[in-house]
Amino acid sequence: MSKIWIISIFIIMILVISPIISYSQPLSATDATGFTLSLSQPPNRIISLSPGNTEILFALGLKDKIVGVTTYCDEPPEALEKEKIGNVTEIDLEKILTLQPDLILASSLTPEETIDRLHELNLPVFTLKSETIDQVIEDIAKVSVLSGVELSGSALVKTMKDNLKKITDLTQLIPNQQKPLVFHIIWHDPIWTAGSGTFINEFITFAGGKNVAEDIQGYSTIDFEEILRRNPSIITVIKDHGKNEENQLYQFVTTDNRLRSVTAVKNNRVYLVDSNLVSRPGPRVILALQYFAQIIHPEIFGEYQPK
Amino acid sequence: MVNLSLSVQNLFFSYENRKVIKNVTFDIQKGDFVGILGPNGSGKSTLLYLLSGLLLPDAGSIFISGKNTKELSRKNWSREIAIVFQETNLNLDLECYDIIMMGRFPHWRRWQKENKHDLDAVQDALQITNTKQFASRPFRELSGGEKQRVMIARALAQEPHILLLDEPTSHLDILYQLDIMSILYQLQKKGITIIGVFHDINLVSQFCNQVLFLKKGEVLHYDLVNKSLHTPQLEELFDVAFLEEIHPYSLRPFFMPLGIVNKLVPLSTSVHLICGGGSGSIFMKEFLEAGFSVSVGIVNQFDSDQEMASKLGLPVIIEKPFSPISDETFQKALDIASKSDYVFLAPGYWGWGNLRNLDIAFSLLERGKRVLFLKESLDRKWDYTEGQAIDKLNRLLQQPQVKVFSSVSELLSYLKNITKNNSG
Amino acid sequence: MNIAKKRLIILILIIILILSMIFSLGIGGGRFQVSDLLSFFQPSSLSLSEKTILFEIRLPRLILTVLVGAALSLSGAVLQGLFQNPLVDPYVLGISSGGAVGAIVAILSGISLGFITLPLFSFIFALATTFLVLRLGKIGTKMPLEIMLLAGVAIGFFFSALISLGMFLAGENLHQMVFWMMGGFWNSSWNKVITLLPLFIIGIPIVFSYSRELNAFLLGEKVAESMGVDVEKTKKILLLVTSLLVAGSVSVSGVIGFVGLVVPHIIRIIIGDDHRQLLPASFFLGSSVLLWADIFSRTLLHPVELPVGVLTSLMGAPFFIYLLRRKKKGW
Repeated sequence: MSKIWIISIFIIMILVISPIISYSQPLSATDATGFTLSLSQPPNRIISLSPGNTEILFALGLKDKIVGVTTYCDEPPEALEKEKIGNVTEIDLEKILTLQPDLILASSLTPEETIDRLHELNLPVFTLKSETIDQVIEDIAKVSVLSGVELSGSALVKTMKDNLKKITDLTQLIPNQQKPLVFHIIWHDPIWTAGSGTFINEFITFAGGKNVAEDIQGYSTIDFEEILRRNPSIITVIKDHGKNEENQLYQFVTTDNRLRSVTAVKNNRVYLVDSNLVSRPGPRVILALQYFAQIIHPEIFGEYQPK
Repeated sequence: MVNLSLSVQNLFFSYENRKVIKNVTFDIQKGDFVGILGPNGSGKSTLLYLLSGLLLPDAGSIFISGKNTKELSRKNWSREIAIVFQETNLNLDLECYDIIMMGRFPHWRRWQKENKHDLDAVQDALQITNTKQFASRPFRELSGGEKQRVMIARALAQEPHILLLDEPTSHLDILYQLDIMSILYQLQKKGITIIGVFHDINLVSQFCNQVLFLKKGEVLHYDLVNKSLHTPQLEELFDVAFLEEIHPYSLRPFFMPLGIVNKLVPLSTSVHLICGGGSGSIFMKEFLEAGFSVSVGIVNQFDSDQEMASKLGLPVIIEKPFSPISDETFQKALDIASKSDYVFLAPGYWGWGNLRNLDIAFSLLERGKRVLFLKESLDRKWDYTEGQAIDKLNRLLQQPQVKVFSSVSELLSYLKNITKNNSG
Repeated sequence: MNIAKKRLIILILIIILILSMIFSLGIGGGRFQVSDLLSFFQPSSLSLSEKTILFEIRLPRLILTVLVGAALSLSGAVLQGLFQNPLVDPYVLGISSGGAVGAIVAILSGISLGFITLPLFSFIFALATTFLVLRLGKIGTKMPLEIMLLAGVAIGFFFSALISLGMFLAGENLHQMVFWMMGGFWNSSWNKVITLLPLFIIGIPIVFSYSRELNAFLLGEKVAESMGVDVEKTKKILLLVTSLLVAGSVSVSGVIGFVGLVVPHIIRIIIGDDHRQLLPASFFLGSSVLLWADIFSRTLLHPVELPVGVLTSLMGAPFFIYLLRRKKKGW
């Protein structure tokens, strides 16, 4: 009789104590500004301040917890139906307050003053500022921890890392001389490209190419003459979003007289890439890398056929 | 018509609904030197601008050397008439020679280069205005007077038949004023017609041969200087009293304004002043300043009071020098004095020559006028007539219409009060 | 300073310009290479890309820079003389804001007529702005210049507000507008040279032919008119021609500041106020100055290109302050 009593009391204690223990352990992570955010319970009302962050939230299966997004958040299409809190640079603070968020994801595009203000108002804001693919993957992991969906987070992270490895394993083996020179053009007046320290640069290098502008830091102008001198064999062109049917930039690259001697133009290896895809730090970076890999080494990765 | 350099007929000009030039008509002969005088706002500068074509009249015509200006192109007009403006405080880093050469503009076509004629014209201009030594110096280094001479040279380079000047000397030192006037005088001798607006009446009287009086846009007079340039016309023009003298060197008239005298005050009180030997001058000034009209008599010619009264343009009865008062003169004095309200006896010396003046006072008492004098006149020291003058004065004292004052200020306030009461 | 000395200075300026142009042909890849220069005279020995670099990128850029520098300096000198005001620059009648608004409209509307879209829009708007200002500044048949200056300032303010609004609405196209307004020769092509050249060929002789009128203006409008100058016609023609030159420049290279303002002043300090030498001297000095500014903009941070408008302002401002302190005597 007494043994049964002792065992049942023990079981009851475990049943009572363990949820208490698990609930009192906070969800916590440190963001790009060094700020550590700790939440006592998983957030139910999340606001995203950038399209990239919105994609991350959707990819982590948190779509039902999203209560506010920016006007630029268009991927996936369901994001368009969410409540808008402004665009990327002009944020409606009042709206945010009325939505009573328990997690706000800011990005490198969010103005400093806005982030400071949010902190001042004691709102739970977490800033993501990634500049490499690895950092993006890390950020996704952090967000999954904060949101209490570590399991889906780890799964996504693993998939991304695996796909990344699949590509880099193959491209690492390519000797330097066989890495095609790639030039990524963002605008033509003046010529604007992406140098080292940008996502584009990573895409090109991981995909087994050589960025013609790697001696330049960040996004920058480049002397027209250099394009001819460096003679890329592949040119990737940002696709204009929604403005014109005939993409001005693509027209420029393929028809301007002065570029006719460039190998990429001669061999018709000028490719349009979606500007959002290649500039958003989010789960689709791997897809972007895949596209670049197909563009640069179709013989290994197959034809580039964007959806 | 042939000799007429400039003919203006029925010129009208308005500016913002205000008539600035009203029905102005005059003719100027070749070689005249015309001075335009008038108070501020009379339209003098506007008239010059109309003559030079900088403004176009609302009505009327201007003929230059017989040609109607309505048919003149801008350039041709500038070949006939050149204008020099008031002052040039421009700080140009340009050689004076080049500035004068600009005056040749009306003679050039668009791409035409400078020819010998142009060079000669500039040399002549430098010569006449005595500016050769400035030719290669930058304009901004010159003084005001020197700059003005260069501007005149520039105008002369246009080879005009008529030269207009808008107060060319107003801002200059006396040296440069006379300098420029003598240049203009020389130009006149060469047959160039000169029309100048002047502020200084005496420059006009010294140098011009014709004068145009412009008041409120209308021509009051236009005539030769020795006919029209005298105090009555000046007073009508400026509403200020003037003193006219003869300049000792040029023998031309010379004018001085009298100061504070305000001729615009209606003269309600008139005083006849009996004085002599300088005793009356101060009273003439006081009475005039108080706004009274004054007549003076009887004084001998060359007496200082006579000279003062004549200069002031006051009605004055003059007796021959060193002569006693004749009956004729006495009667004239009575006629004048009876037009006044009061007679005032200035404190002065009485001699046999002027004793009869006191009888004027008595006659006027009979005519109901008031006689005034100062208490100090009763002092025996004034009497050189063995007491007769003092007796007369004492007798006057006993008359009811006679008032005696202890001071000049008492006298003046009495007269002023009367005036106020009369006009009130 | 006599006329022989002035002519000598102009000759020196011409020589400097020619030497600078030759030198600039050899500038590329961040440095001067004599071989590049010599290759110009032996085009047959070059590969297609080398030929393209020299003849289709470098040469038109050089010519465009020279044309724009000359146009801006000359216009600045003329407008300063016309307005009798030393603070006047070629954009005083709102041309730069008008051109910017034109560019913004082209960008925002998404209309595409090919590569002339932006230049065409900015040219039309720049000219339209000038006409607007001239119309506003007119009183009867006369054009009082002070009123026109004020009208230009007012329109400038209004358009600046429009520009800010445009940039706000730009969204993704913001960078285009910002670059356009910074001013630069990065995309110089023969097309642009061909659009600017006729304006030049017509405009320059007309401007030079009015040198004497501008000299007369120095004495004041009244004096000038009394000397036979048709003041209103002179104003109209000079304003129109300079507007064409400046609008053309703005449409091919954006807004480049200081050249039009400072170069004429430098010449005035050396040569004086006589427009017969001031205009050609400004013309040649202005083209050299802009040419060198462009050389620096493409070599200082090679292969990154700096916007030349930023360089001219950075160089111009301290130099201008230096000039002001020296010339305390005033205009």
